[in-house]
Amino acid sequence: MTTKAELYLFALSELENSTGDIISTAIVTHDGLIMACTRSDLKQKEIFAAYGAATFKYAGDAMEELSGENIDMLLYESKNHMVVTVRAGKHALLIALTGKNVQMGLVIMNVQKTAQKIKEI
Amino acid sequence: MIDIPFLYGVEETIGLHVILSNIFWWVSLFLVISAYRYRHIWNVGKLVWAFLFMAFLFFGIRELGHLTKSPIIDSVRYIFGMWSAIFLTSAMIFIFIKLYLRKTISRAMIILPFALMFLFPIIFIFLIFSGTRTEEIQYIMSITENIVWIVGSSITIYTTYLLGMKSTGGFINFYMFFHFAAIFALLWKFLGLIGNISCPVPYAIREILETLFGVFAILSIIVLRKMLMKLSKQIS
Repeated sequence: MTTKAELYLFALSELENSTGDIISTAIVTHDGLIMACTRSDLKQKEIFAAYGAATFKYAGDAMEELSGENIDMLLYESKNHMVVTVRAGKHALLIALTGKNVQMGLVIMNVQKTAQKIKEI
Repeated sequence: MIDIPFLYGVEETIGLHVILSNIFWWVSLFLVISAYRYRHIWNVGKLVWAFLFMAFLFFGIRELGHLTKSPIIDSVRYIFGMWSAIFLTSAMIFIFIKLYLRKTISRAMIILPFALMFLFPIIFIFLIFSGTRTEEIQYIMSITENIVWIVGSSITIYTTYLLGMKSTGGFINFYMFFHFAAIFALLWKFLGLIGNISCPVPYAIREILETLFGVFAILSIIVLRKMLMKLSKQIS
């Protein structure tokens, strides 16, 4: 029998295959625990999940203060990387770390599509 | 004749706090074992889990030692207390190094808690064979345990504060409860130390602090177990 974790991992693989230059993706809880992750390094997985969830939480607090609304998506970039985080259902977040040579619009669209799939699992 | 020390609660007693403390620490140990089943969800390494297990186990054994009044058993009880402090502090340091500093734990860091662990029984055996009176050994071990806990809980206060500041969701509560537990442990042992070396502090105050230490320790493990159980259900 296929577990939800396997289905989540499959959805993440599909996202990575459909969009070029995605370095890694993860589905994490709001506590920062991993539900599924495509990173192989165990230590990096934990950090990816913990920091991804924490950043989304702080950005969510800022959004609520500034606009009075809940945050739906968080996007931040550095010189060579970009991170997109979206809500994937009530209890989960989808985080995608990409390189700089990626079409931002395509990444956002595919990430949102995948988040919707995760919601339905 | 009125027993003044007893009236003011200066003397150590076997009362409600011993029962409560034993319940808290042994139930906590059971919860750690239960949470260990979900270790794949919180990948902080097997060593952290092992250290948490040993911290709760040794403190549970320490609390069982309350049930006797023998100075030698008391000294052994203090050694278990020291071991508990060492492993609880080390567990938090390891989580801090991994998640906060994002560094790998070196071999020396792994060996250090075990080296410290063996140091105190060696001192104890040395004191026995050197002909020191059992009451004196008990006094030395009690002071040493106080110092070990004061140092350990101070470090835990620092690590849990920083970890809590960078955490989210249920982990904030997990670190916060550990933080409170460490504060109460520090107060408890600090009062014990000044009671040992200069002015006796009513034992009732220390009993309350010790019980609160146990309450917050068990709360932190309940929060951790609940988080891991919830996620396990979500992904299975």
